[in-house]
Amino acid sequence: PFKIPARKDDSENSTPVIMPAPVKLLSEDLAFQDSLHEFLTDNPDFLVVGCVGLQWSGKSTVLSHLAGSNCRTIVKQTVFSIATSNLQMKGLTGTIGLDAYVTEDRVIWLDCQPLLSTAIAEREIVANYSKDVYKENLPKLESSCVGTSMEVQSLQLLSFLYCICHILIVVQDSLGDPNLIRLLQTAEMLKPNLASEDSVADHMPHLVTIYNRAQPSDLVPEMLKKTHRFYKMAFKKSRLQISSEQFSDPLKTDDCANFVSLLDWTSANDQWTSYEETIPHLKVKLLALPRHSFGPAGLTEKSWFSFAIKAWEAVRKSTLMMEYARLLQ
Amino acid sequence: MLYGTKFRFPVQLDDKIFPTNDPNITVVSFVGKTNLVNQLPTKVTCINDYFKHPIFQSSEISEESSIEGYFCPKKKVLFLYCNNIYDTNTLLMLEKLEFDNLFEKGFLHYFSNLRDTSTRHLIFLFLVSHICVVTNASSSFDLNYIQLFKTLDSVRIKLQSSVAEVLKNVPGLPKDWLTLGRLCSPRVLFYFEQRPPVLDENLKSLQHLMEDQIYRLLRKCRVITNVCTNSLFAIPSNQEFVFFKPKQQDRFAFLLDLLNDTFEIGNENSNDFREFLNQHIVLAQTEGFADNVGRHVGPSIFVLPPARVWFDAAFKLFDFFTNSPANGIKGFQLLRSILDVEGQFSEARCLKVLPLALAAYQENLPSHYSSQYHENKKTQAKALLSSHGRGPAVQKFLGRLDVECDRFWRHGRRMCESASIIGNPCIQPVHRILGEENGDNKLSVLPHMSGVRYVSACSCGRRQANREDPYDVKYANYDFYRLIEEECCGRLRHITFPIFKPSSEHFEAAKLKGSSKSMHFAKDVEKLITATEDLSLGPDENEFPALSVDHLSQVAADEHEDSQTSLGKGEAAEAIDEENMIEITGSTHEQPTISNRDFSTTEYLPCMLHVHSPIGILPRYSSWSLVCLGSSSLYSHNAGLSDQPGFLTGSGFLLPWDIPVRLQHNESNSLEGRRTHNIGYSGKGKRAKQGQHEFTVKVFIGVEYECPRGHRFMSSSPGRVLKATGAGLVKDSAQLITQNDVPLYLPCPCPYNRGGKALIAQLMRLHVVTPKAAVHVTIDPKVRPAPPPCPEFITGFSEPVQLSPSSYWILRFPYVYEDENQIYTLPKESSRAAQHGYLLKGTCGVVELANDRVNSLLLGYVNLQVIMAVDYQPPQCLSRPIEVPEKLLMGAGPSNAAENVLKAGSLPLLGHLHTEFTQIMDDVKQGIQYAFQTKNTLTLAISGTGHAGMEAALCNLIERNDVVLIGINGIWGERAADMANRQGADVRTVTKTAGENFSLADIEAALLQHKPAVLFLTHGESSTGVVQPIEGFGALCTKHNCLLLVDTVASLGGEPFYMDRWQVDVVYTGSQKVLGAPPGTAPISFGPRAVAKIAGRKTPISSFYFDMNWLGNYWGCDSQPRKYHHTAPISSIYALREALALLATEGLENSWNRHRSSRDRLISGLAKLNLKPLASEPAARLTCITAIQVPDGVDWKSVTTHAMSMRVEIAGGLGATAGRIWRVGLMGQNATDERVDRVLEVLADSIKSATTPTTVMGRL
Repeated sequence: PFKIPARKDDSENSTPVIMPAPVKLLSEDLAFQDSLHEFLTDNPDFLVVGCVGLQWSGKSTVLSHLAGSNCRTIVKQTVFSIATSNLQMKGLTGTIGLDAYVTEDRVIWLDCQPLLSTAIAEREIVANYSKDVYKENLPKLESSCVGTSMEVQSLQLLSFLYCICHILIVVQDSLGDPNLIRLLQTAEMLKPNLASEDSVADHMPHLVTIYNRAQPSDLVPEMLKKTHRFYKMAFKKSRLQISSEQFSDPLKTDDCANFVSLLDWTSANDQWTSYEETIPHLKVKLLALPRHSFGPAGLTEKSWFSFAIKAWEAVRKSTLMMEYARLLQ
Repeated sequence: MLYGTKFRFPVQLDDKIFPTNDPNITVVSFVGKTNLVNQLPTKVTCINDYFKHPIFQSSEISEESSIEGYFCPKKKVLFLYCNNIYDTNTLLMLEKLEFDNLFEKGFLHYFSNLRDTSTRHLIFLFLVSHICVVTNASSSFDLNYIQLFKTLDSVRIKLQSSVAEVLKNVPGLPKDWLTLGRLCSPRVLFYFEQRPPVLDENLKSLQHLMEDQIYRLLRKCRVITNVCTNSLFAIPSNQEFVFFKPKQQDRFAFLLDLLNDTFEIGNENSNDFREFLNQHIVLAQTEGFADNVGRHVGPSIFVLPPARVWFDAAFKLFDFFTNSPANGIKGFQLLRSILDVEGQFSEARCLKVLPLALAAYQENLPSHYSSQYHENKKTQAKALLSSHGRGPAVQKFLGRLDVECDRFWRHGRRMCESASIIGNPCIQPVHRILGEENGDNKLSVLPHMSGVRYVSACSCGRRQANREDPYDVKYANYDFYRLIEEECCGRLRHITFPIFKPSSEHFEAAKLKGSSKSMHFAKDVEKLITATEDLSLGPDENEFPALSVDHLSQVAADEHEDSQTSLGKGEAAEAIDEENMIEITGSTHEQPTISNRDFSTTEYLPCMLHVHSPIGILPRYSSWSLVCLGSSSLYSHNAGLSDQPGFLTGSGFLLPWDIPVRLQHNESNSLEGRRTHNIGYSGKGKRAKQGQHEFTVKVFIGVEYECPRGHRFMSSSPGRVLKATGAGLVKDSAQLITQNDVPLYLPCPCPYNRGGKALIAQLMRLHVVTPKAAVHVTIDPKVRPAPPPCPEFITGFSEPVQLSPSSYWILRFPYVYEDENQIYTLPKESSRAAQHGYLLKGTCGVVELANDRVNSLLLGYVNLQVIMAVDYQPPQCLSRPIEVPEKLLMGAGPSNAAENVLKAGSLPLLGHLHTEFTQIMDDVKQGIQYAFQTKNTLTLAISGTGHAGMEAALCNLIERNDVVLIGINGIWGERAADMANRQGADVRTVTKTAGENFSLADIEAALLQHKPAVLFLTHGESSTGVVQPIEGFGALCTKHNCLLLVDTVASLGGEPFYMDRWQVDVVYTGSQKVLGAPPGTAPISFGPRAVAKIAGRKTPISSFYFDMNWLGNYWGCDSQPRKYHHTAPISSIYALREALALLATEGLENSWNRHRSSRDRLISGLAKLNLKPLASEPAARLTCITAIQVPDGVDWKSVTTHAMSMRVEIAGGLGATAGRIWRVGLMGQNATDERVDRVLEVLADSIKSATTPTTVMGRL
């Protein structure tokens, strides 16, 4: 269903086009978009960083700061569309669908719509209302199952991101949400196997957890140690790569997870400086993480795009997902 | 009692806490997710906030889910809150509580279990509360709550009847409560711990927006309905139910306050929450809630229970919710299934995949297979299950798959896999072995069979057959050979090795390893042996009372007879030539039967005999075989082995072994004889004693190896395969084989490789062809098949076995070796096979063949005592004295040496580092410095001729890619160019035609052009008789930063040369020219610039021998102590010293003048003969060597030959000048008027003799 537009000229393609703004990889209705393709090159050395989180947890903001070169200058004008006060006042969310932005250092940043979002749930409901066939008392099931359908949608997005990302950032505004961990691991369970051989396990991305609303009291060593250990343990049986050399040993403990606390710069002005300092460090770590190839043959940016098309189709048509959805109802 | 009582469920409250009036209370519960980490959860701070007092100061978590509360009788409110895994602090703490087994089955599995308890508690709280405050950890409403509410509701409905049952037992319970099953449809309020970073003034509107959104969602999802009795809870339609936590102070500071007990409720923010909650509490306490919406709804039921009743009911309900098993009650079953969706999914998924995985295991299975194959297939199946199965159940199903596959395999598919001696597994299905009690009698009885087959020859080696992989030693060493013997060597003459002979039907294996029984036995036998010394001689054996002795003697007698008869037959069959050797036929010589009488007849040795085997016990069968193929004429050393299949080409030969022996017929004392005459050495210098007979006997020996494929080969020396030449010639003798330990195993050279490794061949046979002589060849093999502590295995004979003369004997070795502990077989690695086991030396020997037994003296184990023999005889020519004629050496060198120089060469040798010698070296150095006219420290004599000097100079000066400029006006420039080229230099040349030399201008132009690092010039070009002026060239080179290297081999001492004055950097010469010393030393000197160049080298000097760093040290040119580099040619250095001494005595100037005047005399003499020097320019003529143009029509060769016949050497041309010139050298001792005249005379005569026939021929 998705056709990659034929390139006019290969030479034109040699210099990557600088993106003025993110483009949609998945539309608001979660249909695959091909507008990203023209910004991709044949470079095989690229990095895909996805970002997920609950509504209003600050995904787009953090990702904008990571993608931008200087977060001070872009604090007001972010790369990705964030849920501004205005939107929040309307109960809406900034990102719907999946936004992609390629930076000059050949990092493809993917900003995902919020998981299990009320705003999107409402959107769905409204969409259903608008349909002619919909009458309030007839299709009870549809509206009452909005929770279920939101969950399935979130699982699909996560599975998709597992397939196409080197790194998946989970932004949280609260610590250790067990429901979110359950969702992440359920998505792992439902991820379609895209490896060509049965016996070969798919590669899973690095999972980097960012606690976005940390208070100074959360940063005491004992607390951090506990948190790291918890994440390490919670993902012990998961194939998501929860720990790595790059994120290890800030506290000289053995159980280090890819976990970063970012001070809540919105709550107190003096915490901005600390936040601002942490972002480049975090970015360095992200760029240093080992990058797996998405298959036996390494992909270029462009073939990754084709791979992503395949992955999204596989996720949408996954029988596993259907089986699971049936059990939810 | 100001504020009331804290408690924790389950609780049985003290009566004292209830006021006498027992107020009707309002119950408020706090549920939901909280984020607080380091301190109190929000649920607790809410209560503190409400009361403006730090009621809960700490929260101790000891379970994954607990309910705590605070009862305030004064305010008639009761607060409850639950601590569970939705609270971050509890979640993080869990890991501490159950560290070991936590998450072992994965988070999903664990979480669903944990949620079960906490969800039960939540239902409980919804049943016993009027108001439920749902806390949100984040800033937005979590959709998970919808799922949770729906779960709670559906379970609640399922549990209604059960709850009613519990409530019935509560005395005084309000009737409405019992009817409804709860106090009311509780109001749910939402508390948001975080909020989006919006402006404060917008907070209220955000609150309202959220209220709308939540309300809409809950309605849409049918969590709340019009009739709130039907739903889990209600939402107030006209009151605020969403509360955002106000912008807080730093929570850390808050905590500090708390710790310092300065907690104050004074800030407005906390009051806001009190206000927010109070409106609902007040309503509850006054009117009760009526949250129904719509028109057709009745009044809501609302119960305010008395405190005592509530506590009673709550206690019972809590017990019900906490302790009821999941199985019995439908509601809890439902709960479990809802919560464990992942588990169910995973389970269902795996259940689908399991049969596929099993099918993958069973696909293409053979009828039975090995455990390895089984494991491989199982791994395949597991990979399939892991890949297609999902979720936490995969582990469990992997276990099931494992069990299923194992069961399938064990149920009739298992292979026996018992390892053979060689280590191959049995490939039969699991089976019993005949005679072995195995327990499982259902199994069929089969012998082991690995399916591996080897090719082995029989004992005599003439027949090859397939050998089954052996499973016991008897088959390997005895049964196999007995079977093929029937068709082959069975009828040949055998020497039987000692074996166990049972005396009755009751016999058993001896208990080894020092069991007391066998020790006793050994002693007893020893006693008996002394008593029965002459047992074989007479009938008095019956006198011995002991029964065992009877048997022993009987056996011995039988044995005696047996051997006699068998030997008799053998002799008849083989028709041995017995002309001179009738004596050998006595059985006493060949059969040491004496050994057999000493052994037990009731116990046998369960393993093979070795040197540490207990005395007196024999094995039941012999693992060895000794067979006589027939007459020695069966073997022809020219043709090699015949009738022996499997031999590799060129390897089927025995090795000749010449043994010089000296017989001692008259020696009577055997012991003495052995001691004194253990070797019959017939060396040149030793004279044989009277009465002793000396001669050489020729034995042929073959040490034969056999590989599992039946390839056979002989060994030529230990560890080497015999390979005869194409013509069938064997160069090797048996000396090495018989003198040394011979490896038991060798890599087989056969082309068959297993995984790149050669097969291992094993020493299997010893071929011995005995001579027709008055000696016996004896054999006494000892084999140590593995490195110590492996014992040495023996045949069992107490003495070496004597082989009959003039016969072909074959000793066949055991196939495997077994001691009481283990079986020794082929080593694992073929690369180290040759070092694994050995046939020990001393196997073959020779004894004299004598008339009777007493005189059968052992002359010598020849193999132990080496007789040196060479393969090639000394050259005859060396037996003649050396012949050196006296000649006048008037060629290009060497020249005649002075008498005292030659004498010096014959002085006694000294060590090359002896002080006397180093003193001579120092003398030589000074002499060389004088000859070169230099003070250079690095001055010495190279051990080698002038060429070595050239090589040494170049290899020290040149580094790879250095530009070297070579002046070529004769052969020496060409040679220098060649050598420099070999050093990797970038060689540039500047050339002149033969007979000319270079001018300063020539060289400067070349230096400018090439910018070389080194310039090479030949001072005396001996091939053209040209001298190269050196004066001025040194300065030129210094100017162009180039080193000047000068060859003065043909000129030094004859032409003026000033190394220092002319700034020459390196110079060398030869000893055999003007210096008049024997050839073989080359004086050399390096100037400071050259030394600097060597010191600054980036790469090591290419030659070790010529390394000036070493040589300089050895010659004492540095201040270091002399180190050994090479052994100087001592005598040559003596001679050089004397030659230099002569030069010093004469003085350089005198020498130069003498050479010049001799040369002038020669030139003028030549002119008289109408001969012209090659160098037309007189100044260019070299004093030491004069090149004379060969006139037309003169055969130059005839001239030199003719001159030589007159014992005068005149040289021809060299290189480019060959055939064009003669060269006459006037060097050193030869530069005298007398010798000039002599050479002129000879030259004239020779030309005359050479010219005449040419003219005659011309005329013809």
